[in-house]
Amino acid sequence: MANLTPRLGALAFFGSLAGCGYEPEIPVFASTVSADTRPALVEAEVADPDLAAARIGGALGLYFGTPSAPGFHLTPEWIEEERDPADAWWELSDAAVDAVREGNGVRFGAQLGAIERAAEGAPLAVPRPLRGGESWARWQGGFAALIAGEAALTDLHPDSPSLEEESEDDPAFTWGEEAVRFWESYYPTLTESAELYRVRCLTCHGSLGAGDGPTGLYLDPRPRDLRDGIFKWVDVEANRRPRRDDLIQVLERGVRGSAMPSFRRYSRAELEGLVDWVRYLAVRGETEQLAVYFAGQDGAVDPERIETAYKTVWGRWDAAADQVGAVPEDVPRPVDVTPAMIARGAEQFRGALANCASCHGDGGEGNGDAIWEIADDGTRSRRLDRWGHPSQPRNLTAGVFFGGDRPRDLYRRIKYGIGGTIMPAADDSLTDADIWSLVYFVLSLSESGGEPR
Amino acid sequence: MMRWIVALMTLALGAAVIVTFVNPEFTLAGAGQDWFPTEVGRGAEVVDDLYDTTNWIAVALLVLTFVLLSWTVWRGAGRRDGEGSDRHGSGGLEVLWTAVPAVLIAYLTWIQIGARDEISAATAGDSPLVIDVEGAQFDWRFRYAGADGVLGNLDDITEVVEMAVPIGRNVELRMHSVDVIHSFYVPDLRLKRDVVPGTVTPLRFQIDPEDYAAAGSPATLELRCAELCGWGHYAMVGRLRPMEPAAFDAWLIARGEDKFSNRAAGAPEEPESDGEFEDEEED
Repeated sequence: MANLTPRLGALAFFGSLAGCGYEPEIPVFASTVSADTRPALVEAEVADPDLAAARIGGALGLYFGTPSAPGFHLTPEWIEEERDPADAWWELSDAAVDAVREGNGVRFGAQLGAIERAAEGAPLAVPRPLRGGESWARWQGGFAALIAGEAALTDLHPDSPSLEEESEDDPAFTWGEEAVRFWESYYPTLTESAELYRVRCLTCHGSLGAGDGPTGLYLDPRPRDLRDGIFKWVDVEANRRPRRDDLIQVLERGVRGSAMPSFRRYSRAELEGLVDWVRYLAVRGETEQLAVYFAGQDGAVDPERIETAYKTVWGRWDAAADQVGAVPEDVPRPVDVTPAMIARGAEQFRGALANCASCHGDGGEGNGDAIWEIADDGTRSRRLDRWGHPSQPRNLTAGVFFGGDRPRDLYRRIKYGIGGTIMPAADDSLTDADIWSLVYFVLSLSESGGEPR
Repeated sequence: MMRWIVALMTLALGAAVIVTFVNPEFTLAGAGQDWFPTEVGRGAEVVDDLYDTTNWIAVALLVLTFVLLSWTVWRGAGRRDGEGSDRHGSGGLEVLWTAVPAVLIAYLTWIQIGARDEISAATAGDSPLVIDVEGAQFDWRFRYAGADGVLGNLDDITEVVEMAVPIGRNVELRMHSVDVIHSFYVPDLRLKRDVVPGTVTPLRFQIDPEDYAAAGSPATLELRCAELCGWGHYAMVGRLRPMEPAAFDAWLIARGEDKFSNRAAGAPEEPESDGEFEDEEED
């Protein structure tokens, strides 16, 4: 009789493999109403929540398209102004355009080198691009036309009029230089940015940006719900919409202490494209939320109200540029900081007016009492933030500041608060001198005396 | 006939292994590539020599192994009875296969110690630029001493992903990790060292100006994490930006100025009249 035990063991092992059958959920890149829209409609006592949800979904499709064909509904005013938010090239600042060109110069260095050599008479062999895409095909088509000597540039390139002028003015201007400039103006379309988002961001932030991606559910802190348009680590005042540069800053620096990494390894054009997509998800989500709110007021979905919601949301985003939280010009430097200033900061920190210690704790360890809510029956629960997550005041002794560790970052956190959280804005209740003393007191809590942290 | 076919197949397999994995020049030369990028670090050629020596020893052993294996197959396949000979121990053979690897390993150890000393000597000298390197899932972060020249206080300058380094100046990294083991790997400099949580690992290097120019002055050098550190390991990519010493000093000062300025993200570093540009945009 052969010993059966090893065979049974093997059977059990393979059986368990078959039984476990772990299949990770494949993220769906879908465009539909958010998961919480229908419950919200029910809660708002809308007569027919299914019909209302379907109507809102249909309206969103009209205003924003689908992930495979995204775009923005153009209002009559925009058509008159020739504005299309999906073509964000025109909205970039001077500095951003320069950064995009520089980044493209690095990213397409091999191609640009080949073109430059070809302009000097070498045979042209443009290596294949690193990553394909519809912009790339568009660009390459335009480039072929350029080589053929056709003046098809006008339709393909936003800067073409100035390029044409330049080539007329300057006889030494060669097609090689022109082609290089042409390449340097690469800018991804909304569809390409959606694809980059799908590959790099969706696993945490979710297909609609709700912060509910397959990985996001297991993170602490949870990923940002982009549908609110409220971002924490911005240079605008709290609860305002971010500017493009605010989002770029987060993408470039990452959020140290959270799972949000830096995406600085991508070119500026790709980052600006991601900002386009984040803005798309945010505007879409905000419009949806407002539509639900209006449906609750009216008892049903009214198309005109959705148009109002869409314009209202865009109004908020367009106003962002004027809502930068100002920081006084004379930022104190460490050499200017006196022990008296730190002592004053400590006093403020624990004092009645600033009262940081109520949440951050006397030692700044993030263990204050004020984050607890005590119910009538005596049970304690943490106060929640805007997104329904338990509040966690920062442990200031760890030297990890999510929104940046420069004095001006901390100044903005204190002066203007942090959007969506229980961290309030000091506004005018503290003088600038008070805030700076608080900033340096907070920084002194994590001073490590040269040891790595 | 059969014995010849089997033995030759074994030999061919060995040749394929050697050509494919051991001597990449065969397979990559056509694409104009080398196994490594052109080295730009002072003392990095020592690593290349070491690599070559180890490589050729491995090739020789592999050739020997496959020749012996083919011979055994050839001989064994010729036996009609299908029985192998039964031997119990051979003192001479045991001494041989203990002594040969021992000598080889002793030799490899010897040249590695020499290489290490040579690399240390190449970057010896006082007052290197000290940079604090933090590995974290999944970012590289760097700290430079600020205006006071002391690392680890409030006027430090922090960077993420991109580490600017002066060309022709000794740089000493103080590497530490906040979570798991990472590995700091710059192929162009032939540098690879683990970054272990709970300890500070020093690493010295210098970008050699002549080698750097000979390599075509690449704008950035790739920095990778060479130790599987989690799901985002593949994305833990950074870069070194070599700069002329004067440009580097200016950059460091500018970064320090920026740290203590009041500008908002995206605002020009030096305030300028950009009203003109806005007018252009309106047109």
